[in-house]
Order: sequence, then structure tokens, then C-alpha cells
Amino acid sequence: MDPISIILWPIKWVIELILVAFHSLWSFIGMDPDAGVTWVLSIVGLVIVVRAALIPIFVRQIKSQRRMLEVAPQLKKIQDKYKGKKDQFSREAMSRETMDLYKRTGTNPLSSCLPLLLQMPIFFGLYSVLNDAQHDKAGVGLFTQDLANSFANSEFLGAPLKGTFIGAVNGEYPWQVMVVAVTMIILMTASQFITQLQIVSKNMSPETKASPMFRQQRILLYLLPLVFAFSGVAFPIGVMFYWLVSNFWTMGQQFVVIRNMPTPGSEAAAAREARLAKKGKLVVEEPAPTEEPTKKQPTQRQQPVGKQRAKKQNNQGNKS
Amino acid sequence: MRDVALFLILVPRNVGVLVLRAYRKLISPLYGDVCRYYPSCSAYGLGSVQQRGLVIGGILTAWRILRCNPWSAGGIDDVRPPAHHRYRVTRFGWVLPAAWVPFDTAAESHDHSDHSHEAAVPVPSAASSRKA
Repeated sequence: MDPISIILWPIKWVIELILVAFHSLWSFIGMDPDAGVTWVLSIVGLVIVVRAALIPIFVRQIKSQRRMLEVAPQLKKIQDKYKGKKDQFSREAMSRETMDLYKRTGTNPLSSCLPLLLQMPIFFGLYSVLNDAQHDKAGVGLFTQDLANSFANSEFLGAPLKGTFIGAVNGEYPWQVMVVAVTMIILMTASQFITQLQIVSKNMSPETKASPMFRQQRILLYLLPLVFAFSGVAFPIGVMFYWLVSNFWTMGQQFVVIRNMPTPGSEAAAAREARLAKKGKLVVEEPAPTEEPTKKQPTQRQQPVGKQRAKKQNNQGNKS
Repeated sequence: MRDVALFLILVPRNVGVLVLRAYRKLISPLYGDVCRYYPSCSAYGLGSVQQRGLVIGGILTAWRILRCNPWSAGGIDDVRPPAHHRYRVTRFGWVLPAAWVPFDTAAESHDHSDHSHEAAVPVPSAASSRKA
């Protein structure tokens, strides 16, 4: 075995376990074991298990983002120090100082690499589970030969789950594969757009919107549909379903987060406070000692301040 | 002659450099800024493969990625600077025998062989809130 399949082996084993478990569940409650819908719902089950397992990490990350508020003044100081300096030296030095600040104060808001990179083998593992099935190979664990065949050949709206867009163009699969693949690409792009726009329009503080990172984020928004289109024509439909459902999950999760735990200082935070105030139960959840004021002020506290005014206020603060 | 031998020894790590450069160009931007360390995991990977070779560099990178989890504090974690100057790193990132790389085109001239310059500013919440 090559090193990659050794790494993938346990992941594939777990993926097969979850898929087969959900497949037996759906078959048990009377669905046709060989139907595409049953397998698609098994993939949905897989997404739910994987993403639910990632929720604690997500919550942790949001909490440390909230704590960013405490170091905001120090962060601002660093940003001011390097304001307008675009050369590589200054940008590097700025990143270093920022990172150091995060570490010292224990407020690192970045999500870390491992969870992201772990999702990649899951996706790849699913791909290889399906790919094996396509070539008449059983899985590494609970995915028997019969189940593998059933999975690969089951049809969703007339499109076999092992089918790819490219394969359909070459006449290997029926035309329905093309329709399903294109629909999924469109849905994926749409959900990605909605997720991003939700964040950008509602859940960003004015400082973030002013940062150079924000522009990069925007470019990404227009790049992603291309990525979806390219991968959408090459990947089997079954794998695409995992991705699509996962995207929908992200969208829903984002919606809940923006509604219930918005970024302080963003539009969504103001909306939430207004909503709570209306119901008469505005509670300050974090024990924020100094600045959390009474009912009327929270919307004012984070009002965007013009550059000039901010400078003036800062200067005054420094003098006194 | 010695340089040719050195070049051959350096071939595997240059393959690694190419792969990592491609990853950083094509896949990294999709994630935005997520790394809790500076330099980021992929920049660290590039630097350590350049300085330590494909095998040791690869192991160091894997260890770094494992450390870059939601429970780590993050912070600054540089690649160890090279112990000798038999080879140099070009602008692109290739590792070549020192004599083949004029000093002024070498990345080392202000020593950023061990880190990146792209998108290194970790600004809160823009990229990260999207990730789960």
C-alpha cells in the first residue's frame, strides 16, 4: 500500500461505517435499498455526522472572536503603526506583531489548519469509496461488494451516482447526469454566494470591511463558482452531493450564528439587540466589565467612526 | 561537478517546492486566512522543505499542521534558518547550488526563504467566520 492509502484507510473505514449505518436505517424504515434517494439520504446523514462533530470547534472559534473585542485597542495600535506601509517588510512585521498579540492574550481568532485539512481526506475518502465501487471493488470495511454495486449504480432522477458530467458528454452515462450535475453546480454557487453575502453585508464590523483582506475575500467570491464548475464536471454525482449538502449546512449554520451570536459591532449585532430590546429581555451574555451599558446605548457604542474623527479621539485620549 | 551532484541531491525537494507553490497559488486562497501561526502552515512547509529536504521537511510540516488545531495558542513559529550556505533559494523558491544563483536574485538577500509574503495579514473574522 502506498502512504496515501494508508492515511486514507481509517477515514474510508469510518465513512463506510456511517454510510452503511444510514443506508441500513433508511432501508429498515422501508425505503428501497437500491434507490438513488436512499443513497443520497445516506450521504446527507454522513454530512450531518461530520459537520455536527465539527460544531464544538466552530463554537470555540466564535468565542475567541468575541474576545477579540478586548484586544481591539492593541490591535488598532499595531494597525495604525503600519498604516499606509505596503512594502513586504512592514506587512510581515505587522503580521508578526499581530500574531504575537494573539498569542500573548490568548485571543487567536483564526480557525487553524487541521480541521480544514481533515475535511479534505473525508471528501477524498468518499471519492475513493465511490471510485472503487465504480470499478467493481468492495470497500475496506463494511462496504461489501453488493453494497458498492448498489451505491454506484443507483439512480437519482435517472442519473447514476457514479456518473460524471464528462462521462455523460462522452456517452458513458445518460443525459440526466448532465442535468443533475449542472443543477448542483448552480445550487452550490448560489449557496456559497448567499453564505458569503450574509457575512459581508450583515456580520462584519466596519474595521474588517476596511481591511485589505476584505478585498481578497471579495475576489474569492467570484472565483469559487469557477472552482465549482471545474470540479462539478469531473466528480461523480455522489461525491457532489456530499459537497452540496455540506454547503447547505454551512449556509444554515451561518444563518443561526449571525442571528444569535453576531460579530460585535456589525449590523447583525445591532439588529439582534434591537430585537431583544423589543421583547424586553436584552441580556448581556458576556461578563464584559466596563463598556456594556444600559439598554439604549449598545447600538451607539459601535457606530462607525470616520478616520479623521477616530484619529482626533485617539489623540485626545493620548494627551489626557 | 560538485554543483551538479548537489543539484541532483536537491531534485526531490524541488519537486516538493513545486507542489507546495502550486498549493499556495491555487488552493490556499480558497480558504483565506485560517492559520493560527506565523508563517502560515503552507509557508512553513515550503521553508522547511527548502531547508531540510522533502523527508525531514515533510515530517516537520505534518507536525506543524497537527499543532495548528483549535486548541493551540498559535503565534510565531519560524523555520530554522539554514545552517550553511551550500545552496540558495531563488525568488520562485527553487533550491539551487549557491554558485548558480547570483546573490542579488536570491531570496536570501533579505532572508525571506523561510516565510511568505502573500496575504499574511491576519485580520479578524472576515475569513474565519465562514469556516466550520
